[in-house]
Amino acid sequence: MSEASNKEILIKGNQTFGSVTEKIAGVVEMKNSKAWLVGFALSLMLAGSLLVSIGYLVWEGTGIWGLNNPVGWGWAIVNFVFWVGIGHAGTLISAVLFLFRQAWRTSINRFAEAMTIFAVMCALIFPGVHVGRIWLAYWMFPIPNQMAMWPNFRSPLLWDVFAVGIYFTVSLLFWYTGLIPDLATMRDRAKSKVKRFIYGILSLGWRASNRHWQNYELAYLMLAGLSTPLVLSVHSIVSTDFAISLLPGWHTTIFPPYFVAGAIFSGFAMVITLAIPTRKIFGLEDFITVSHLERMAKIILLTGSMVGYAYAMEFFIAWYSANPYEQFVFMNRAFGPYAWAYWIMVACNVITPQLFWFKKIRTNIKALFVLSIFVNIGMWFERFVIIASSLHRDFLPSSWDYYTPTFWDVSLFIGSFGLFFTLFLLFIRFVPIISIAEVKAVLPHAHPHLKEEDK
Amino acid sequence: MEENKKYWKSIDSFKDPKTFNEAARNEFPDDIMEAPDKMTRKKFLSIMGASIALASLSGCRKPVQKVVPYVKAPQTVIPGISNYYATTMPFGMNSYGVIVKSNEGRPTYIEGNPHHNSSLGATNGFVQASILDLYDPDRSTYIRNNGKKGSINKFNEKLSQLSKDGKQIRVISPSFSSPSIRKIKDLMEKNSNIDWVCYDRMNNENEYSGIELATGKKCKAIYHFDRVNRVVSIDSDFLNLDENPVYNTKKFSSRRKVRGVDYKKATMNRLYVVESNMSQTGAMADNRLRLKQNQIDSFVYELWQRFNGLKSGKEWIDNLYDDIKVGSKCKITGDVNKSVIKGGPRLSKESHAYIAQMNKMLNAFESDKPAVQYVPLNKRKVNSCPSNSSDYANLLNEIKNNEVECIIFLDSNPAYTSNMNDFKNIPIKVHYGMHYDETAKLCDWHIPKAHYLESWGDCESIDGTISIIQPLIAPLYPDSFSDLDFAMTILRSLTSNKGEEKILNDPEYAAYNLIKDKYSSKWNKYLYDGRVRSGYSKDVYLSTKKWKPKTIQYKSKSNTNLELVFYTSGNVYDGRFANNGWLQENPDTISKITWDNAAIMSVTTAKKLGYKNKELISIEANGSKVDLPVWILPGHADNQISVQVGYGRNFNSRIANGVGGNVYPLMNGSYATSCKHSSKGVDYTIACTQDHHGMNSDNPSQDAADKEVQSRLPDLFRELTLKEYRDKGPYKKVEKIDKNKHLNTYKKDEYGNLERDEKGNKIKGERKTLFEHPYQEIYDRPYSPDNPPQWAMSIDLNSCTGCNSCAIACQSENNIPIVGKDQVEKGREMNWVRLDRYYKGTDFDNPEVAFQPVSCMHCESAPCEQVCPVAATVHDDEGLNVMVYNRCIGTRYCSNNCPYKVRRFNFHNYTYDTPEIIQMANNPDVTVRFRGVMEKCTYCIQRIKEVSHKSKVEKKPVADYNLEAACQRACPADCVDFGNKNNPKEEIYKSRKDKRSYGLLEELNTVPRTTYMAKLRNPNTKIKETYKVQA
Repeated sequence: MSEASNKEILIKGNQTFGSVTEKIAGVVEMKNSKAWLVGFALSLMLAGSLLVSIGYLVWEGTGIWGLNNPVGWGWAIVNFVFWVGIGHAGTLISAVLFLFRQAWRTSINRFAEAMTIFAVMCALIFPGVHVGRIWLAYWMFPIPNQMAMWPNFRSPLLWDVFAVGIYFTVSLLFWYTGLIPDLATMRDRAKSKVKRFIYGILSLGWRASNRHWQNYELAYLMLAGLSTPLVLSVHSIVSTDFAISLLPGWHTTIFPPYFVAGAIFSGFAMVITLAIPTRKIFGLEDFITVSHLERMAKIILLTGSMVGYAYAMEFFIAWYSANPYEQFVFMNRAFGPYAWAYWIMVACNVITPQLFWFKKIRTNIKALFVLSIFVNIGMWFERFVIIASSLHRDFLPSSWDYYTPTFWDVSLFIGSFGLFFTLFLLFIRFVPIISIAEVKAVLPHAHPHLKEEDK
Repeated sequence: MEENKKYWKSIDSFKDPKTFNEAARNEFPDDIMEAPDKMTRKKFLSIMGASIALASLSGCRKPVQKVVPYVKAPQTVIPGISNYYATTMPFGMNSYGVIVKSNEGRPTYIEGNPHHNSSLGATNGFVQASILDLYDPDRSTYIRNNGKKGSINKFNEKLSQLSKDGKQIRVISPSFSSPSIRKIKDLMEKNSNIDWVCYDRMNNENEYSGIELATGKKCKAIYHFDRVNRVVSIDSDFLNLDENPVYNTKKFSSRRKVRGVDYKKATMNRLYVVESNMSQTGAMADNRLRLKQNQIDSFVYELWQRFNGLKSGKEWIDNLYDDIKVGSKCKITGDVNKSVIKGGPRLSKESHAYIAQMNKMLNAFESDKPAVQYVPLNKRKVNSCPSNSSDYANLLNEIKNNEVECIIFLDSNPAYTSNMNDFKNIPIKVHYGMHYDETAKLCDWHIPKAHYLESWGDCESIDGTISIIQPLIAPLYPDSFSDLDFAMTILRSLTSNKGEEKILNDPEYAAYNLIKDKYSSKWNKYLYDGRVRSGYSKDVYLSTKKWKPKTIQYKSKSNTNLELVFYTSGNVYDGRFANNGWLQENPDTISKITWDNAAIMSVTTAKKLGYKNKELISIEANGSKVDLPVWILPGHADNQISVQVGYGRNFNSRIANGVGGNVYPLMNGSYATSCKHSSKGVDYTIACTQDHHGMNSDNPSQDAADKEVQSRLPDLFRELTLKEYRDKGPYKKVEKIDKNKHLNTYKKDEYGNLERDEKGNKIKGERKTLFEHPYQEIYDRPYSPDNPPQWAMSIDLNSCTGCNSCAIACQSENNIPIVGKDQVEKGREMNWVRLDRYYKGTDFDNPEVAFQPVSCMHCESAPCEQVCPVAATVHDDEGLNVMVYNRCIGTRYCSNNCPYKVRRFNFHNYTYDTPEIIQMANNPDVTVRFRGVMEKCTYCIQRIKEVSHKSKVEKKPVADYNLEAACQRACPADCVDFGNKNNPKEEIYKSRKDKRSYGLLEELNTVPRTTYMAKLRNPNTKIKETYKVQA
């Protein structure tokens, strides 16, 4: 595991190895709090609306949404890109920061990764159900069949299937691998037979032997290495859904880096949004400290500035390309019928993160929470602006139209939040939300040169 | 009757609405066309249940339908092979010769008969869509007496009784032109107690009377626009709605073809249009003058004065006169370099008289090939019975005096078009029609009418061509009567008939016998040709040699401030097509509105009256009120509101009911009236397929989107004036634009240095593309019968009138569903061919109009194919962009990536609740698409395959067969060429090589197979100022 920094105390409150275990495992072992129960009931209700929305969609067809002829993609694809983007922070924290030996990641990587997995699960719903004939969506996979038909390897949608599929698999494996020592801890602490049995199965016979640790750390390192390129590849490939097409406003080479930056931007915002109430409710302020949050705010500032730069660069290239169609798309974005969405996006994504130049704001929990939600909204609108405003007025003015979402567009999106929070709340109650083993490694006690009396 | 029951589900719900109140209350009956995504409680519960039991859905299968073979196979029917029969579609004073495709005994598709003068192989939307009327599920199926089931014998007895008692019987019918029905009518009127009146609410009587005023004889006019170089159309929509539109369009457009000649020698006709409401003809005008309706008559008078040497000093009149008068100085015989003036139905009869005399002065009559011919309506050889308002007025008088005991509404609908109160004194009212409609509900008797495809009969068209109506199918409802049969039934019921003829005495003598006896001389030939004779014999035409123009008193019209003007609709005509879904969903040529009529006004007028676009207003005239939405239309005259008749039907029907507002009650005899109006304070939803932008803004020309449209138009819709074309060729406007936008590059040597010619200029290189198309070599292979043909289409924008005939033909040929107003409003119309209409210029009052039919371009490098994840849209070796419905999962990515947006997605299962009977109209060679599948123009692949199979069997090259796409065949302006682009013998080869040929958005390197030929305009540039009317 990473070396404990001897310069900075990452975990506050004079924690010992024992207190860390007690505190974090306690979140799982304590009785259901009222807040959790209310939250869970709400989330479950919203998840139910997801089920109804999908049920009605299968029954009636994509016509229940507001889609029309020029605007063939609407909220479903916006939500897909939004959720995939959210996922990015988790992988970045757990893999990239791990490889860069950023010790502060240990407090947040577990639930950031869980967030990744749940977000990707939410994301995967949308491309599955947005197709016209949902029962045939599996044709997108290269499954041997009696027609000897391969999917079309030239289609970015197919690349999506591979990219997001691999991303989900690797993220899940990575998360699970990291969980093994903690699951063993839970097994050892379990009081009921059933719990002991389940945690026992899941912890794969972990006995914390030297050999186990050695294998574990190697596996973890390799998975981190595998995940790192995925951080860049997934959203790059998602962006090709747009960049490969010839639609003005989509057909841009800046999309891959711009999408990745945007994804990390939104992902970190989501981590903050989730971390702030969680640490408060479960009393984990010592583990997820203000300094953790501040570091994340700094990443938001960086990626937010990159996103802002990309917005400006799109306009510059539109002008520089001298392509009248492209120029119109961008003028239309800023001043056309979807200008309201564009300016919400700019306000949330460009202006909001700039506030993080101020340390006072970076370290103010309430401000962080509010601003992180703004970033989430802004990033959702970014995808909406890209998709709807480019499609609604393309080459031939005769087919120009306007897209308005319907009740079912909205309910599916809200339903996906329901699913996300349901899974997240279940995760809180069954798995240690902070990596016990990794946090212990960054405690001062783990440092070989720590004086005996300080222990 | 047993087998009829399945077609009718709501019949029991019919009550006996004797009173008008009840009829009015029934204005919006139960929601027949429930929008697919309307959520009801019941539906919600079923969805809830379904979403829980979602997993079990995969086990569901569609119910199995079995095909039962013939027990005794008919001799001529081979399953899978269609038969074609010639017949005739009657249409008022005109009739269209058609050829109808029959599949296993059911007619499925209508195309024009090339040997018949009024269609010349083409059709218009009405003809194409009339097949749907045959399968209309709302047709009346049985005889009714006071709302209950009746029998024809009882009806005949009743009629005989009346006749015996010497009671007066009257028949009202619309104008018709059938020799046989005319004969029955004449026989009938020999009886003293019966009279037959022809009356149309939207009629052309002013023209007949105007010609009478000038020549002394009531005449109809036949125009031949191929014989003139200058056409002046005054308030006449002769390309779309006037009496002979298909013939007119054919002939007019033949003078717009500038193909196959050196551009330096290109010639073309010139069209002047003077009108108030932008019509299809007005959109084609080279010079268009926008005038308020009541000023048009004074324009005609001023022009007439100019003809008499009185210089008006007005640019429009003088220059128009100079231009058209030049023509008359040319030699007459065989020369086409002449001019003609055409007046429309809304002009006063005095104006028509002036026009007749001006045409005389233009020598339009005197030649072997006259530009216009007059046919006196009272000649014995002329069979048409035109509308006659004075007869109708007399009839109303008789009714007022209680002289009439029984009235028979023969296919007419006064409860809808006028006022049923006029007839309330009559004790016995009989209705005969296709629907149990507004009038039928108020009548004692109702007899169902058979569709013309179920009837025997004969027809005369405007130009005198006589043809037989032969049925394609036995009447779907055995109780229904053909026009001729029903007229004979009435005739036989009269007791005072004198004569030995079979018609009078033999009850078994049916329409078939009558027609067969009449045309027995060459029966098979007549039926095969679909024509008995072409045109009138020479002695029928009015001789104009000795006719001298006389003085006609000019009647000045009072200039009311705001005028309400009535038009027939290009979609539902006078209301007779109101229950036809194809036509209702067909976007209006100019306004692009579907499923509605609107109060059309100009930008200035709307501003003056303080109305916004789509604002619902109440218009009051003639003591009646109607609520209509405002629709602002460029090019419309100021101080005028134009409304289309034919909407606002109110009878139990799936389509017609409640669509638009009925404006007939606002009409008071004439086509224009003064009116009151007020806002209802609400906005109305209009399903318009274009202009989802711009039209709402207060200052449309300043709108950024409108500006963008204007800046794109020179590239999308390429056009130049005839003068430019002749002087400089097409380079200036057609090719130059490409050069700047194409991915052209300069030639480089192998080291990457620019190559230069002797003069040191850079050499133009090949088109730069990221990857070479792997099949380019196949596509460009020189023609050989052994190579796969490379299909391509060329559309001549110069003659396209935007008439929508191609769109309806495509709908009929390719089983394209209608989706309803709600879905069109959402932007989900399914038409594979759409007619884009653009306004050019920033002057909203005098825009130039551009029509561009757009369907799948079959791009050689198709953007849709690259992005489909499941390879559901692919290219074949004939260059077709084929859509594999079975493979499609509906990601809609192809549509997003299509720069032409021609792909259509089945958002709902649009064919789910198609009544069984409408399914009979489907083309069996084309799949009916399911929900969630993308579809688009296939270049009529079923027709291509039919021909290629034949060519394989018969071992002849495909090029030897007459292969036509549905749109191509239907087009009355001959705009569409289709064929093998590599075969130098085919027209398409020449079209693509033409200098005016260009590809839409070809700078995207999609290499479209459908190309366009740039439009030429031929304006009289001397006319600059707009015309100002005398105060």
